[in-house]
Amino acid sequence: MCLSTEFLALIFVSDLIFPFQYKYLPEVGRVFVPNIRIGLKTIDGVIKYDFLVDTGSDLTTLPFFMAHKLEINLAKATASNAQGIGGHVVKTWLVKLPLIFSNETIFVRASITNENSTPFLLGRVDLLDVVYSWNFNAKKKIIEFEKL
Amino acid sequence: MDKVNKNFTNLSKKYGPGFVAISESSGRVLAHGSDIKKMYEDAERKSLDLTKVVISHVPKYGVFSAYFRE
Repeated sequence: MCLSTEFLALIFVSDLIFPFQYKYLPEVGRVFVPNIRIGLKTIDGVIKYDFLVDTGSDLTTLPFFMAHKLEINLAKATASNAQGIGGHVVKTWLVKLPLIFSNETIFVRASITNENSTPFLLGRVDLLDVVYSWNFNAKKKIIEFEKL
Repeated sequence: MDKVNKNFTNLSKKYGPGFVAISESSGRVLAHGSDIKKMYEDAERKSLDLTKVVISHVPKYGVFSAYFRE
């Protein structure tokens, strides 16, 4: 797949150790939510967002409105589709984002959906298998990004 | 360690599903919306300094979440 590299945004990771977060489900009890904090270089400055570390997602994914905040012209981006559980398909645009981890810039391919309710998802492509191991340390209750 | 909430249960009950802007210093929810655009509109109405908040997705209370992309 050929991805456009014209549309860039900066992501800064402030730390590579992230504490576990939780939610409660009445039928289940406490559920671990693997969120980590990442900064995005937006028109408002560097803003921090909670990204869901999603080993089930191919691509890092952002909601539609972030294209405006990141000054990404979707008219020039490659259109694609993403499918979620249940077969729900949403239109997406493929972009390339330089990610900065501890002063290191890493380019990752990412997608922006056509919905504003999409969670911020940190996908595998260009990260999990080539740059970091993602360790879910249940003893310490932290997510560790270990450099390869 | 900042004071941002590490448990989404109360956020889900009060604000979710949607997005919230949480003060890094106090842990208080300063803006919210059912989607990211509405959250930003709420933040702009309140003239928030967004560089001092964390923006987080809030899941619907009591509902299982599953995400994947292909």
